Amino acid sequence: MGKVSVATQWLESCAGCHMSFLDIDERIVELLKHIELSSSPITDMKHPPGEGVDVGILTGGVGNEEQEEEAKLMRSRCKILIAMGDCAVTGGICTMRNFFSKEEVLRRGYIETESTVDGEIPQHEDLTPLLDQVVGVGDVVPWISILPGCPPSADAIWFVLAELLEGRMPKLEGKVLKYGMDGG
Amino acid sequence: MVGEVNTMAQKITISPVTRIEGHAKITIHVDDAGKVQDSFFHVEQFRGFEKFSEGRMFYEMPQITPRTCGICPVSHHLASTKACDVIAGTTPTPTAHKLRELMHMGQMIQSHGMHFFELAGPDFIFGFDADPKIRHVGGIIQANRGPGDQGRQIARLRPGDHQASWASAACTHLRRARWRDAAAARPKTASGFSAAGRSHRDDDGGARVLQGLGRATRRW
Repeated sequence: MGKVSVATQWLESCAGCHMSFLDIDERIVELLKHIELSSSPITDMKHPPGEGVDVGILTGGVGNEEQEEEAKLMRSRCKILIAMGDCAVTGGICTMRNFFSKEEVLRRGYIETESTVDGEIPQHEDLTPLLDQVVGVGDVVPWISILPGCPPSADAIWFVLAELLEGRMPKLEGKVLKYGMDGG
Repeated sequence: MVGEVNTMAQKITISPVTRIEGHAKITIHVDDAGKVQDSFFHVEQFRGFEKFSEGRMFYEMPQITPRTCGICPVSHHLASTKACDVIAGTTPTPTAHKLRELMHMGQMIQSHGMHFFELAGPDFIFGFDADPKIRHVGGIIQANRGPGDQGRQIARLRPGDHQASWASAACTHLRRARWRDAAAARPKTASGFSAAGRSHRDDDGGARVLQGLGRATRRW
């Protein structure tokens, strides 16, 4: 059997889920015997390849138009889509801005912050507009499996990948099923 | 490294910029003679922590602000912890201060190791023009199988979150215990909450850890 190709992408996220993935430490050596790392923020391949990948992992919510496109692109090019981390599953901490209008949020961030002098809200044709509301990946595209946690522990990520490699759909329970922050 | 070239608009787009924390895009506007007219580094993501942190209980901030950045969460955690100290009018004990420093140093070792060995290093080792399919941490690991096994050493160099999370938990419990003491000192209302706000729930856990830390400190 050939290697299982895996692509990952972060959307509206802090990168913590990818860091938690790297926290599998030297188990990555074993993992790479079985998977082929495709596009990912930790490689320099920008987007999932046209021929598709076996497993796609999305972290982060969907908060702007480009992230929505990225999520759809990943969905169309992977067989199994995993929403990894609370932001991907529910929108997570990013949804806290949904209580305000995006204009209000941008004004506070770019103009009204105490340390800002003569601030302005950046506007450019190349800049992606924010969506009115941040949503989880599942509100944009259907995922196959979820892995909650902020971030999911390295052990949980290892468990899910190992199960998939064994040809089983990961069944999350006990320590690997956790919403919210560790030890908070 | 080359992005998509849009000849119609004479614009080179590199999106996303990879192996960095965050979400960036570069656009380079080129004129008909092939000269660069303008170039932009766009920081695409905006989440609004500045707004949605307003009005929340201050002691939530050491849990919320680390989510600004998953690569340097400890810095955000400690910055908001310091702000909490000011609000609560407390000064960390020498032990707590050392634990915070220890935690921050742990993050620096982890972050530098990761940036160089897992993110930027492959560019230098394979060269910038090498195929992106091998020019990443997985390529290094696969190129170095055997007794020398640099890939495994690289993974080991980044010590994971174990040390940092131990220090983080200790600091959190220490802080809670101090708030509990401060809350106990304030006059109680009829409802059992302190007049200045709800006392923290995890009273016993904080006290246990504080006792444990006390014992550990004495042993030192």
